[in-house]
Amino acid sequence: MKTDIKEITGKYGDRLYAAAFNVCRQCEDAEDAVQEGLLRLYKSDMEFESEEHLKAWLFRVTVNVAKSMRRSFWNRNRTSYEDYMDSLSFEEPSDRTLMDAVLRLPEKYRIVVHLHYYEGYKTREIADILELSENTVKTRLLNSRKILKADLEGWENE
Amino acid sequence: MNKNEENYKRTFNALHLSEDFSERLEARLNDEREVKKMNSNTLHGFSRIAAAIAACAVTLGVGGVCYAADLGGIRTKVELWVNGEKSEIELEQDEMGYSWVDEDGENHGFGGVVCDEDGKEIPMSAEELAAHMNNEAAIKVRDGRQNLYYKNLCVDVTDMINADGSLNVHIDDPMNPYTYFSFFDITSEGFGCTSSDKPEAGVEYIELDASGLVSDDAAPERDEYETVGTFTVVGED
Repeated sequence: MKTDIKEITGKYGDRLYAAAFNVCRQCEDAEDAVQEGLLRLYKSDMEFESEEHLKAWLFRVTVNVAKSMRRSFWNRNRTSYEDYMDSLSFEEPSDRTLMDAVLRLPEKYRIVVHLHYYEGYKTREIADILELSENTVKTRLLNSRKILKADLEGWENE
Repeated sequence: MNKNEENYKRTFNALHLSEDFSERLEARLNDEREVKKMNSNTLHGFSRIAAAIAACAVTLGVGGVCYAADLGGIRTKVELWVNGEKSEIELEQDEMGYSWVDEDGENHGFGGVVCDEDGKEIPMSAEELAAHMNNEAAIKVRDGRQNLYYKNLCVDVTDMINADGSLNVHIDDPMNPYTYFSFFDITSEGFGCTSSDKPEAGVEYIELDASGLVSDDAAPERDEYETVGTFTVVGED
């Protein structure tokens, strides 16, 4: 299938950004990760079988790039976590608490949680994207739920 | 959709790319188009060096993540300065570049590319990376103090760090031309750092005592190869 970067950015840009931010917790790094993911798509000769295949590939690349950027030695003007969080418009006051709680999780838990709760991926699909075993994904999801349940009043048992 | 999913989605819907993202992406895509055009032309009529520099500039614009893809599981022994001591480290080549696990079980990954004379990116070898890393300075927390490590030097810089988490130091090392180090975002979690061969205008550098620095003949000088970009990742897993 043909890939149009502009169209894909409009369609998936914010979602890729949310995933990347979930990994690096830094807005400029997250944007760079999304940009890099899209540039790799532009440069790639990959033949995508379907929209889902393309989407999963983009998430894998963007998340991997975001992981690599967490502690890179590159100079930039960075926005602090607090400043950025303060600049966001949340619909409900409890949303900020939820985002803080999720972003306090260990990185390897965060991205699993995000792909599950935000993107609606099943454990098998998350395992494919993150190149993990399905059992590892299940364990990380289970542990994350326990932590979130303990941290958040509104987090329900599943 | 259960309640947790609903709350999660509503919360993370607050995250959006910045307004100028598309514009910046378009500029990068234009750069890529130029590089493609340049690579498809012969180099008659303009200098190979100029072509390499143009390609390098594009690579740097990526935001610092440059690594070699599709490499597989090869291990190479190199000598690296770690916490002031030179250690023999076995680097494992993976799809991200190279990685090793230190004695504390912490995973370290790093990688980089160089430009050949045609401006093509070539993954740095383990030896090139080690030479590059051995010319870098690092700040780590030990016993609640921030220590700067450079080769065999270790200096407590806790009280030198500026309120904004920055620190500018110079280390007089005749074996390394890039000894003006500017650290930024220094926290207990990590730091960012750039190095330069000359002081940046208007920046005051603290001169660190380098009298105890060992001569490190094994590390080639940087101008033996042209570094485009490197990255370092330290993390769990």
